[in-house]
Amino acid sequence: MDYKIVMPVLSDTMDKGKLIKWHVHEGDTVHKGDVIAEVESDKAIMEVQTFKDGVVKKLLVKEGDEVPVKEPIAILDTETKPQAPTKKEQAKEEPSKEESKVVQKSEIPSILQELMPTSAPPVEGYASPAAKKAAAKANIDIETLQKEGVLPKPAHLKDISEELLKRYFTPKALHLLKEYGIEANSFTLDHKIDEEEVQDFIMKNNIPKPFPLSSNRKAVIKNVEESAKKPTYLVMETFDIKPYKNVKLTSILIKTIADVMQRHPLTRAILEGDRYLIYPSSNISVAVAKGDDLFMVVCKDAQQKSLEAIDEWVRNLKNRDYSAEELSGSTFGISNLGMFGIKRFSAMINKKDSGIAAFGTLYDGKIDVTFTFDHRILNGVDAAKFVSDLKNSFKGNG
Amino acid sequence: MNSARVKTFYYLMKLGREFELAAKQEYMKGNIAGFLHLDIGQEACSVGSMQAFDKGDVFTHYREHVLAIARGMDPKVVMAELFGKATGVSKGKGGSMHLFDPTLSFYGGDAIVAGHLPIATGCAYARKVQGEKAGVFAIFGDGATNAGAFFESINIAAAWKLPLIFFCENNYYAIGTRIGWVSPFEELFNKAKNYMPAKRIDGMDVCEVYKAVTEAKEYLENGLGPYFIEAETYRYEGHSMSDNGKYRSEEEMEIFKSRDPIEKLKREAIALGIVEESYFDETDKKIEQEINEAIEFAANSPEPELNELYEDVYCKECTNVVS
Ligand SMILES: Cc1ncc(C[n+]2csc(CCOP(=O)(O)OP(=O)(O)O)c2C)c(N)n1
Repeated sequence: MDYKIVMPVLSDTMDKGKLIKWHVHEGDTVHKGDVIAEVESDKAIMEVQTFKDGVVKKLLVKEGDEVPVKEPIAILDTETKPQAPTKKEQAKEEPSKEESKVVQKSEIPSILQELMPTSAPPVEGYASPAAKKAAAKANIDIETLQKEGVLPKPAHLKDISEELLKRYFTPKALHLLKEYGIEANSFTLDHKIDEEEVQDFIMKNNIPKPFPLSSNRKAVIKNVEESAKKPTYLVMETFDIKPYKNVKLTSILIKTIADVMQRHPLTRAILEGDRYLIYPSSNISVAVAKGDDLFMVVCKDAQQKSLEAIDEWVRNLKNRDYSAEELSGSTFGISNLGMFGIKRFSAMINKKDSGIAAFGTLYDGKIDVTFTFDHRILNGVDAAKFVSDLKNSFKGNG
Repeated sequence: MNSARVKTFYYLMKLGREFELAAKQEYMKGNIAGFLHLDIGQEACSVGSMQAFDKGDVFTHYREHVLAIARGMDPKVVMAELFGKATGVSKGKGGSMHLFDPTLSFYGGDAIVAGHLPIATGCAYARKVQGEKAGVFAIFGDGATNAGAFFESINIAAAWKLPLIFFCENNYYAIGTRIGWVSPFEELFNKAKNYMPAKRIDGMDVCEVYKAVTEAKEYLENGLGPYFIEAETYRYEGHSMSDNGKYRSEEEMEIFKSRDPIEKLKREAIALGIVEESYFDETDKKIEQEINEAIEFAANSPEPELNELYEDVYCKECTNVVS
């Protein structure tokens, strides 16, 4: 009979699991309790056992596949009689002669005393079994080193490998190994290895330095990936814009766009399920670069604010931290790379916004603007009306 | 050791183990939600202690299925509770960590490490005031002995000579934290020995557990105050279903498996000729049947009604709970 082995539920919050490794092949005989695979849940990598005896008929997923819980991952044939005993069984059968013998207390504890600190704690040379094994191999004298305070008590495998590394690498060399995630066994361990040697190794093998992503970077990645999924189109125009003397250009852009948005409800809309939510306020997200980080900070109720108030807000932008509240709730965005001399570019739409305007540099009283619109919210005609209204408004701004 | 007692020990330990293996399987199928902490490997502690401590009140933590069954709860009703069904001992509203049955004086399941120790102490105080002798049994892990609530409880229990057995299951790990990393010594009875009689026993040997708890019970009944037992034991599974237990070495696991309480009892009983060999096979078959029935019962039981949400929120009338 065919029996389906499914992706197990291994935690309260797990909804899918990644099959990390198969421990069986098709055709293998398995017994109740045998580990057949390793699966990564949302908490840890766990072993998956079979609950039935049988022969593996088919493996339904590949290593590396993500599978929803309760979906089948393998099929067992529970009827075919297994051919040969499994490895586990062979191992089990050997000592069977002794099994029925009563094991006296004094019999087992000989190993126990050595391995289990509690039975008779050997105060010196106190270490886990794995650590002892590794130390023996590497000729490390745990007892002496513990007396010298070099090794902790109890010593674990990681302490022994650290000790081993310290023997063969200078501290700076070790630091480099860690930084680049290089395995110590990439080197021949027969002399003391210094920083320079590791540096050469890095150059020769062109090893990249891993650089973890900041949480801001992760958020930006998520946002732009979402953005890339949207059906968008571009509208390109050139505006006449007269800058004011003491007001930032960005402030003028925000104020003018905010006022025009009042006449174009779809620029104040977001898509939610099968309806639009049209907000009364012009809330504009503004791309702000701060150090290596990028934020879309939202200027709220910009239609109600005076140009002076907006200008003050803009001038303050870089000197402070933003609340979560200030990073959400927009319906339209602007991005400006004009200060870098960029003439024309296009921007990606922020989160749920209906569109974004990308402003280039000011030349001869003109600016090239590229609009990116979410076609699910604004059609070409809606966009054209909005852009042309905006163009006229900027003309009169002086 | 007498034959009837050995049979009872074997039956309950094996029933507990098979129950838990089945629960593990059902959890993986998605039939049991929430947390699931298995006792596999530690059955001697649960069974030996509950057989010896048969009258007074029992307080326990979240690793409690086998304890509840050894106390006399029907595996069917326990399994139904795990499934969250209306027929469960706590009407399916508590799940694995809340097996509570006042008729058995079993106030099981506290999710907070050491959280039940002050409650057990309070109960022991009430029993003493009422002049009752049976006393209170509280079981907890090694990790719990680092909590403030533990020290406060042993202190007041000793100061007031309360009838309370502190039973520590030292399985060496509090989830992944080995006891020696966070405690100055691994023999935990040292923490209580200035307060009360305290000793360390082999928690993989059900007879030894039974004997120790029987002695402690007699001590309580003589009004001499609290008693501390540390049972050295081991859990084979992870701390809960989402823990792979990989912080423990295979050697260590093998050593403890070689001391498996169920196998050990069986081996010794056969060798000493106390129980005929056929008993074990028959019992295993009976247990298999019983577990299948428990799962069937749980699976076919109804979900709790929606209005159950509003029931048992406030205590209306407590019967057989110390008041
Ligand atoms: C006060 C508190 N802290 C942390 C936890 C999380 N937690 C749950 S069980 C556990 C380990 C307890 O280990 P131990 O007392 O040795 O009991 P065992 O699980 O080994 O039986 C921890 C830390 C908790 N439930 N309560």
